[in-house]
Amino acid sequence: MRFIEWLGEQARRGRMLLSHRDRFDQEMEEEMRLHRDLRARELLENGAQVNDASYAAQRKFGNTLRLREEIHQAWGWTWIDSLARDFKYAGRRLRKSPGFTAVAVLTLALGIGANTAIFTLVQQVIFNPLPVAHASELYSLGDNKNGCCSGGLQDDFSVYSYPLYQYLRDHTPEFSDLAGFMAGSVSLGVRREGDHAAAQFFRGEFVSGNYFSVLGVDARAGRMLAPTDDQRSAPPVAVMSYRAWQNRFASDPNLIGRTLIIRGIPVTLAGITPPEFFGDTLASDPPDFWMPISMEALLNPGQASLLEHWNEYWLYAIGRLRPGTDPRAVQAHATTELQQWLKENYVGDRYSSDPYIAARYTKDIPKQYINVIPAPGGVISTRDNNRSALRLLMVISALVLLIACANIANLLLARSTASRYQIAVRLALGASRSHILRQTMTEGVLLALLGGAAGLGVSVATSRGILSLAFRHADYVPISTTPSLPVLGSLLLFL
Amino acid sequence: MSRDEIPPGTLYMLILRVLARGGELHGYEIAKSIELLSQDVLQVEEGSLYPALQRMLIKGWVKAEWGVTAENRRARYYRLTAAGRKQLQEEISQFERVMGAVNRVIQTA
Repeated sequence: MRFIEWLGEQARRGRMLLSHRDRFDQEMEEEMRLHRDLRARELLENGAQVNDASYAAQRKFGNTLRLREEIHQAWGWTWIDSLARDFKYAGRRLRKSPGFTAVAVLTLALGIGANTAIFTLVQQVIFNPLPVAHASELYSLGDNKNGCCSGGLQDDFSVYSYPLYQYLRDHTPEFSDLAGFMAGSVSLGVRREGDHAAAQFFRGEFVSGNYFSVLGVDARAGRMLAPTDDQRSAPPVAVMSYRAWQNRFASDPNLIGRTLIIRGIPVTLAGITPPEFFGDTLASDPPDFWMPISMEALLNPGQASLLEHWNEYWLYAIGRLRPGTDPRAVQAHATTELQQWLKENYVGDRYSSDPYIAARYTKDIPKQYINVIPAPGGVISTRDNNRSALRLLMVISALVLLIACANIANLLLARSTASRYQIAVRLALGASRSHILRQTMTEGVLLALLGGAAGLGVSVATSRGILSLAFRHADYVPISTTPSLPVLGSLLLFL
Repeated sequence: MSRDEIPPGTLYMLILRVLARGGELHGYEIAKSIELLSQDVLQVEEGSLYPALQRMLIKGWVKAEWGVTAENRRARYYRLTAAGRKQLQEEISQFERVMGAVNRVIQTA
């Protein structure tokens, strides 16, 4: 019962604070004025003089200001009043010394801005998963350190030929499905059918037919690629990025299902990817088109084609692991399968019947292996290159903030030494120690808030600057420079 | 014309009592009512009525609504709630208990 009453009181307090706080004092004033006026009239009617009556009524009523304080205290607003007063006072003090304020705010803005910028980038580059469904189930075959497009044994395998990818896909049932896709991208000349203007330049990537279903990406419009598209006999199709659709084709909805001429070959546009999807790799200039791997032979005719070359390694492989599967067991199995495939291809008569070469491969093949590693962020290679740089930047910016804080602490200290007499006077006038401390702290908080606000501006500019430095020749980088909510939250925490 | 200040702690009871009798009253009417009912002996310290009323609002014993007086001036009218009515009973019985005890002490001493 007691508790329920208390709850009711708090609810009434809160409601009053939220809905009536602004006109509360005015209403209180009006109510009390009515009282005094009525009292004065009564005194008048009893024969008092006009001036005396209103004065007497006022005296009889008591000190309105004190009553208002008492009422505020009853509602529990004293802290709001004193906070407002402290802030007003702090603002006045800061305005009085514009030099100090400017230096302090600028120092904080730089320190906080740099940190926010770095954390914004770090969060996106290192921590954010791909914008796909259940990114944590994605595992990569190999850690992709080798880069693209090599032949021969890699020891630590991470790029695969099309036949090897197919073999691994069909022999690792631990993956519900395994997608293969080009390491890197190709440039494409693309124009609309019937349009005789010069073809425009785009970037394209060859991906396996199951690529979009493995990543769990649904079409924004039209449809994504399907395994049936990834066959030599299938009619050529492509999927376009939302960005290219929007920027280069004015989001033309009639384009879907129509024919585009890509490298002189008519290709049907199957659909548009969702706006947030930028591909499998966080890198500058992500692909504008995704096409089935089987089309590679069509666009690179004759000897240029990599498709059928069993020892040309140009594909990454990322798959969705079945729930409850142990990645280490998968790794062991994938390694066994890899060595099996290598033995069949390198040692058999298909590759070389030269006994010397066969003996060398027989010796080296048992050393070949595949690392199966989590790939919630897609292909790591690009990230890895920038990771250590970002980490260094993070440390540096943290140091900058530390120095900034030390500087400001110094400034504040000097300032409080200068205002010793003032504080002494205030203490003598009856201010409590806690009140003076609170005022000083309020001043610090106000400074921090100002610095933080200015720092936000600095951070956006800084992260843009870092991005344009890191990707010097990029037209577009799929990284947002607007600080995200978690970053802002931790920024506030810092303050 | 000497008047007595009301005993501390009884202001709530007096306000509740006046409201229980009179329906909706504004602050000045409450003060007047207490004076009239006590035949001018008890005098409310006028300003302190308002903090008391606000505290009673917080406790939910009274409700307040803006209205217009007979002379067409805006005034806040107070009305008793069910919780206020209950509180009045409690305050009265507590007061009588204390007064009875004090009386007994005075008479036997």
